[in-house]
Amino acid sequence: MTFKSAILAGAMALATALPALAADLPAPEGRVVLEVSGGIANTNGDGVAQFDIAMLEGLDWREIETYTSFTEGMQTFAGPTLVSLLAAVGADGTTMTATAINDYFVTIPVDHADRHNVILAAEMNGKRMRIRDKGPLWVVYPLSEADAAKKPFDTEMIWQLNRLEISE
Amino acid sequence: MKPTSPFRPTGRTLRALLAVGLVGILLVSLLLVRERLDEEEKRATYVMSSLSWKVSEALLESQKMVTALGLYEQGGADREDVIVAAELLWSRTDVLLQSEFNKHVTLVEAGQALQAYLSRNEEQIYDAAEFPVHMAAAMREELSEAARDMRAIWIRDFLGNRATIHATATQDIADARAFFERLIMACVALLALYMIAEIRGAQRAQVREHKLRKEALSASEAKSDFLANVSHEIRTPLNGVIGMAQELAETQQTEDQRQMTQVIASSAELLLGTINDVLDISKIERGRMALKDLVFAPAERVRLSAELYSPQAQAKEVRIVTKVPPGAGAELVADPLRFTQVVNNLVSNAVKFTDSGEVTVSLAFAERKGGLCEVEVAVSDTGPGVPEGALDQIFRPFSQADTSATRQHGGTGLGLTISRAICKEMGGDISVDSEPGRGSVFTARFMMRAPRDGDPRATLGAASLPPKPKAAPTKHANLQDQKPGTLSKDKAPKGPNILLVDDSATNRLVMKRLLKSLDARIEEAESGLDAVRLAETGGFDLILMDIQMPGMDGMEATTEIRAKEARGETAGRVPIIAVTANVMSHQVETYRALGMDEVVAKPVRKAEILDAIGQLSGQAGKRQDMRPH
Repeated sequence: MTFKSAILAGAMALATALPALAADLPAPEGRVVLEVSGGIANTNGDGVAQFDIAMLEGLDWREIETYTSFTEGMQTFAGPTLVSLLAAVGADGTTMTATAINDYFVTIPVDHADRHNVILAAEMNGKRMRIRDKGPLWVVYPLSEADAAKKPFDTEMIWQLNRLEISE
Repeated sequence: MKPTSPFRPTGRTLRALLAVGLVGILLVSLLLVRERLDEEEKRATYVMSSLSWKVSEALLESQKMVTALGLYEQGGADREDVIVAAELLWSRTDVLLQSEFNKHVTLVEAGQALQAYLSRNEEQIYDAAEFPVHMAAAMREELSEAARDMRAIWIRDFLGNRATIHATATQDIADARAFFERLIMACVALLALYMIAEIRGAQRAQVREHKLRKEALSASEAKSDFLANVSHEIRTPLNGVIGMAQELAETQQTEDQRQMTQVIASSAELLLGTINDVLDISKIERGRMALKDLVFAPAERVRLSAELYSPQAQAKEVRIVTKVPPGAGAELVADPLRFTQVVNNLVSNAVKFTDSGEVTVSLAFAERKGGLCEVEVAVSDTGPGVPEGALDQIFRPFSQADTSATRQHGGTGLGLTISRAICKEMGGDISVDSEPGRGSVFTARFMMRAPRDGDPRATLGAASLPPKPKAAPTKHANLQDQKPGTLSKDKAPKGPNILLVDDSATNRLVMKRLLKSLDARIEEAESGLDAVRLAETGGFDLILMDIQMPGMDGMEATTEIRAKEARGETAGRVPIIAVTANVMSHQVETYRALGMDEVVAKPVRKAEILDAIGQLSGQAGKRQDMRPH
């Protein structure tokens, strides 16, 4: 499945409202794995910011050890922090709608990114995640084993993520 | 004697604490069960809805892949789209198979079938150089069928067999419930055990208490027996003292000697009174007052009582006035002896404590329901009165208002205690109204009933009269009326033949002197055995029988004599009078049951024994003349 090209549209209201932050992002060279839209200042398309794996690797890439209620035992995840992604796109909003390849979606408060050190995991246990492994991106909240059992962020931990929309 | 400590802190307290603890555990358990079951119920609901979601997502992704393959065949989608669809389906089957509910076999098998399909076709879809349309079509057909199968399973299980799914989902709940049910059962069982232990403990305590009470009772009986024995031992010598003093008083004496004799007599009478009082108290304590129901006229008794104490009153310039309402000659049924005892006690107290003035004895009747009549005897005096603080005290045993009064006025201080007990036993009470310096009014009330046909009548014998220093003139004076000249000892006795049975020589001597006036022929027996032997020889008009004797006692001897008479071994029935210090009412009843005709208490007073003999002769007069000839 490829992303449909953005239709021609007028300039983004937010982009013009925040000219000081506005900056163009480099265009993705590889396959696009994530498209950010909504309240963002920096774009590389028609009001959207598209990322390939190389661009994501250029963000604040972290490796974390954590537990999830969907997996057995401790897992190692690696990927950019959500904070660094939001900064890269110049996000301005309080919530984001995270959507998966199959159009499943959840709403995540923007401030979770910083407060819970959320990462957009692209690798699990040293391997790039395929779609069948819940890739290409998995929103991961680092948790202790005990906390994970209580499933505090199971709703927010969307997998097969490929779209983010920032809103008020 | 009572168990003094009703609270034993060790065992019982511990058990109670244990029980409270158990109840606590029970309550906590119940709360936990509720919470746990709620949680489990929620979890089961979550598992059910989550499984529904997972199945429907897997079905959706299957359908999407079918669509992607269809589009690929028609050229509407490229190979990449098919790969993504396969990937998504793969991930959904993974999720389904890893779900918490993978015990569901047919569903698991359907999921595994989907994964097997994907893995079988993986190479062709992902890596093969060519992906021909006809292969895509075959794959689409196969996937369509697999998806349909899975949906069928789901429809059957989820909609058609919901109970099984629910049972599987709620297996944990059932386990938890079973555990808590066992816990609660255990608590209830322990509580039941506790209660049984408590009941058994209470039972044992009751048994123990019963035992203690029995011991106390037998101790009290031992005391009463002791009192009865002591009283007997005292009465016997007292018999000698009183009898000899009476005889002595009838001899020629100087004034000094006469006074001394009087002191001996009155001291002995006082001592006898005390013993009687103590015995009465002992009877009251044992609840053995044994009241009789006899027809008598209370007014007559009141008049006699006033008469009795008149000489004493006159000596102190005290007048005794009786106020008996007109028509008070009515006869009622109660115990005349006990009634007289109370009246005498009140009158003698009034006379004793009054130095000048008047003692008024008034009688009143009041009809009560059910043929009953309340008899009220009020004795008022002009004595010093009872101090207010002592009003309650005077009814307690061994108490006079002023302890020094005991010395001043004499007496045991038992009189009012006994009188009150008698009144209460007779359905009334005694009350006192007193004003210090002006006198007292003692009011005794008795409940009596109207006589019916066949009620036994009381005889007004000397036995109904109180102890007095001098024998009262008896109504049966004819027994004492001797023809002039018959007193001469030289002449052969013309009175009745009497068999006198007593182991004590003193008692026999006293009795012989008391009976002197009868001019009787008296044969003596020292034991029960002697008595039986002598009685067999016949010819006696009367037997005077002591009770307590070594060897065969008076009761055995009487039984033997009566038995022989019944067998016709002796000529006719000889009246027997028991002469004994053992005169408690149950004893008297026994004597009569054994065949004795009268009972005379020791120490014997001349008037009493003559009276008893007189009564017997009155009854026997028709068949046998016992009068002096």
